[in-house]
Amino acid sequence: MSFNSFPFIVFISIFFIAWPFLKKRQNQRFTLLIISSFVFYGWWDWRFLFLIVFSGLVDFVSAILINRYRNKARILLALSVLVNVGILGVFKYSSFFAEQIENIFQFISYPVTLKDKIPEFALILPVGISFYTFQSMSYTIDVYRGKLKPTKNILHFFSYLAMFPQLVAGPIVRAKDFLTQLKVDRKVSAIEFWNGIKLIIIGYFQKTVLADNLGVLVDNAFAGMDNGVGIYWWVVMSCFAFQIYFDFNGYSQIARGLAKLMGYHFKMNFNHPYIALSLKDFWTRWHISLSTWFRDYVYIPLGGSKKGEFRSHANMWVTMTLSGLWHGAQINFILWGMYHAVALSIERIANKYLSPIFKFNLSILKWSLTLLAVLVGWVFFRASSIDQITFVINGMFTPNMDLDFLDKYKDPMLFFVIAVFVESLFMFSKNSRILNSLLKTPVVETLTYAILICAILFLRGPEKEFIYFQF
Amino acid sequence: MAALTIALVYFVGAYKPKPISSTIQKEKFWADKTHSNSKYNVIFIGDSRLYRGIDPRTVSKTLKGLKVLNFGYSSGGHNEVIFNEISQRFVESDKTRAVVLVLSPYSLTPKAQENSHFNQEKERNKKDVFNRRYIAPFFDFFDPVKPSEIFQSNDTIQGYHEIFRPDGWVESYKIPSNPEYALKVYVNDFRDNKVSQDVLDKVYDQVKEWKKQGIQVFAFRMPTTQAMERLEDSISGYKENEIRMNFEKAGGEWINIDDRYGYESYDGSHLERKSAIRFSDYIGNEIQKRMN
Repeated sequence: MSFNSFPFIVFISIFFIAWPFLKKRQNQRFTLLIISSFVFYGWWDWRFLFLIVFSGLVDFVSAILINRYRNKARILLALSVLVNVGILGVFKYSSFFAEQIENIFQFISYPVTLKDKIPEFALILPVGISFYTFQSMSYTIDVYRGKLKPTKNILHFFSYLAMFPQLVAGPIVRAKDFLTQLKVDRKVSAIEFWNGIKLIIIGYFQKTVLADNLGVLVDNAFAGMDNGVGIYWWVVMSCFAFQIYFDFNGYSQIARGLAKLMGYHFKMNFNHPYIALSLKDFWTRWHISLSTWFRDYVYIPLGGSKKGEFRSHANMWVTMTLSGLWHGAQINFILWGMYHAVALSIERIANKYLSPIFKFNLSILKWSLTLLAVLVGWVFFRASSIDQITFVINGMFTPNMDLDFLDKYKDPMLFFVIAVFVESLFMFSKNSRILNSLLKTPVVETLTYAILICAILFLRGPEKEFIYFQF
Repeated sequence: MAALTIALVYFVGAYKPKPISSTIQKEKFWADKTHSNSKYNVIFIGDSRLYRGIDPRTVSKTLKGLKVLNFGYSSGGHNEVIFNEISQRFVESDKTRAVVLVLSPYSLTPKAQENSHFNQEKERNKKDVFNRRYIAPFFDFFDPVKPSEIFQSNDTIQGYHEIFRPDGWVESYKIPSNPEYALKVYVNDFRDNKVSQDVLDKVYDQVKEWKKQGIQVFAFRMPTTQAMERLEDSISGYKENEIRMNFEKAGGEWINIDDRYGYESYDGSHLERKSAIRFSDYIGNEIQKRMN
């Protein structure tokens, strides 16, 4: 079930009525958490629960064995990774790779049929498969590396793996951060409870009010309903940039808020990515749990930046391409990853050779160039085909300042202005102590959250599934 | 905080303007239309020109209370998906049964045969459908509004003004009204997407099948603006006389529309609500004259 659905409201109400009653009985508490998480996940398709259970059991047992039989740890880890990657391969990528192989054989005039031979169940993409598989893998890898002692409490392990707030769209929680939290009795103070509620309200506001309303213009544009060019596409892509940010960050905030109400802490998944002054900076602010996952489990094991300049670029290319592929078995996501790899390489080279020449402050120029690169990058992410990517990018770089379309999209544009305001407020409050303390006064805070609740109830946009559920 | 929020929510909920197109009503409308088990005597099938242009209640009045369903969907096509669906919606075979095909040019193109709007509604999961039909309507108080609806008076708000009526009619008008708006859109719609002979042949076969089952079959071309009709005749491959002839040969009864340009359209394609009621009355009478 989705956070923005009626069944979820019923579900979460029942859960939080039961949760405090099990305060003193930890095992029953974890059992409630696991069962609730399975209900939450099974609401979409209960058949795929077996995948979480299977993948979880493999990693739970593997980690214990890796720790016990250190001389065979490598082979045990390989088996565990193989199972996880295998599950991803079958359910997420089999159709895509079959199609690519068919195309290659078609190209050499030797047609083969593979896609039609894939069993039907493997064509359904289980919700959140990339999130929980990566989470599960990181656990065994950390145990293998000696960074983490495996847990022998299966309730702890499945509470970590399947905890419903982050099960289907992250953040990708690390076992070393979370299992330690499960070991101690968590008490929720009034401040923590209020902080949790605030995160939930902000999350819902970002998703239902900002992202869903901005999506109206974006969806129409990509459905070809307006035939605009030039500035039209820049506005559309700016709206999409905010749509995807608030959609995903909204989910992450709700997940963090729910965890807080239970007494747990998830790390921040986004840190105002559109104020980044470079692409490198952007990637430390965007989907942080995934970026750091790829950094720790792909980029650094490949050698990171310690094996010479060329290898460093190559490692980054591999990491970014895999990160693109993680998002989906579609060529546009791979191109998106590759685009960022190229842009990051250019940025690195430019920094190396140009920084010593330009000594003065270039923050605004850097910010503008970063934003420009990110906006063009989002075209790869949002478009559904290579033709559409070409069409939109062509449109963006066709000089045309016709703003007539704004008349039709007054409402989405207002939400765009609100989105800019929300992000600017963060910037200004960071730099102004007066504004910061004013925003934190009880009266202003209470009024702000009351208004946000009203906006969620009465200004929400057309209901849309969270974008990252598809990954 | 709680008291302030409750007071604010109550105040906003009670005094917010009515949305020009209610999300909750819209979702209920499509879920009901697609998943209802109600049975009907007369079923209209077609695209958006139908669901915005025919009021079943007005038709029903002229047909002396027969139950009438408007089964139109956006970009709806005429093929077995819809034919099979409506076969579940008829009353028992001993009662009066009729199908009315609203044969607009677009509804006979290959793209329309995808019936994506209908399929999207049909494939919606059961929990969602249940929620839309039976739960969400209780929360009408929380029907969302757009900022423009708050800042402008209702009769000046730009966009589609829609009221979702039972039995499938969407009473519509648009501000600003622009009877030339759809012309450009249709030029795109018919690019590489013309009226298909294959689709027509299947329609004729189905007409014969319905006749065998004792179901009366009527068809007509929905009135629109003269400019739109001219455009469609020139680029869509729609040959009205030929279609009419073959349709009648298959056993159907074609209804020729008198005063076909006498109805008002707000966008050059769909009928404005008052015209829709007037036209529904007209078509009801025409069907009545031909009913066995």
